[in-house]
Amino acid sequence: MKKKQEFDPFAPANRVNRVEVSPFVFSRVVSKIESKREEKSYREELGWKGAMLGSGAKSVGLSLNVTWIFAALVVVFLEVMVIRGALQGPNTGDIASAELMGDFLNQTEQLYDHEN
Amino acid sequence: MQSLEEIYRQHVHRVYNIALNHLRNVEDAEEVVQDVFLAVHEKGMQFEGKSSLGTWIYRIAVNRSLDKLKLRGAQKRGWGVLQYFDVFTQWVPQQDTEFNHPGVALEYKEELKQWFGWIDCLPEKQRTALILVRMEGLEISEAAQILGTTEKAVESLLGRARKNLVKFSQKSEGK
Repeated sequence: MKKKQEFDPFAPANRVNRVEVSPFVFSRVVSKIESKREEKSYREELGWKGAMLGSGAKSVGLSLNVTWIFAALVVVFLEVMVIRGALQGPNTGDIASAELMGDFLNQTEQLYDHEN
Repeated sequence: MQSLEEIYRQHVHRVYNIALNHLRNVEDAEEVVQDVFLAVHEKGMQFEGKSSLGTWIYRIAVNRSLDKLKLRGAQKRGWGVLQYFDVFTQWVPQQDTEFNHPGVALEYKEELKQWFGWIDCLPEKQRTALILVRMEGLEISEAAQILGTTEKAVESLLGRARKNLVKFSQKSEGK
């Protein structure tokens, strides 16, 4: 009896050829190394100030991130305030002002009564 | 002691192919190659000699490729928004990475695109074991060292990868 040929799921791997890397990649690696070296020697030349400059550059990036996160939190807070305000409705303000006016009127009336 | 250029000439071919088979994109694979040899230059002093230099370099290549894949996955899922907080420094606009594998002949492109799609669905270690052993032709012992595991574990990873690929192919035939 003829046996059904078994599917080999790894067989397609044999159809993938090996590839040569572009000859320019090494020069890119070297230029990256050189630029890093230059950056390092520049910092060393500047000495203490250079080191501060380096750490300053990092902290600027960090503070930029913190600023963005803070700004986002402020926006969320304001949104929450607006939504809460909208949910409470416009009546709250009216009642408060009516009470305030009521007190004021009462006091005026009392003053009027007192004077007369 | 070997110079960086000598080390590069000796290992770049395999590093590039490991990256290319993980990422299937020439630009991404070349970036990984640059990162790997930059790391070799910078961390060369940290190489303890516990494994061979090649194994150490290929391990870096595998890790960098997987990192890039994760980044790509995160960008696809929309987590790229988080990168927005790295604003103006490292933000790169999202791009759909195309299947760009120069080692795949045109007549096999569609078939292999599907096959690589299945490989992408495999767990990370199974995928890497398959690439290292079946595509790169490394010995199981060498793959085990790169993956930081035992030879038996690599064999078992390959076995599970095989089963999963059969499942995927059956599913796609059933459609």
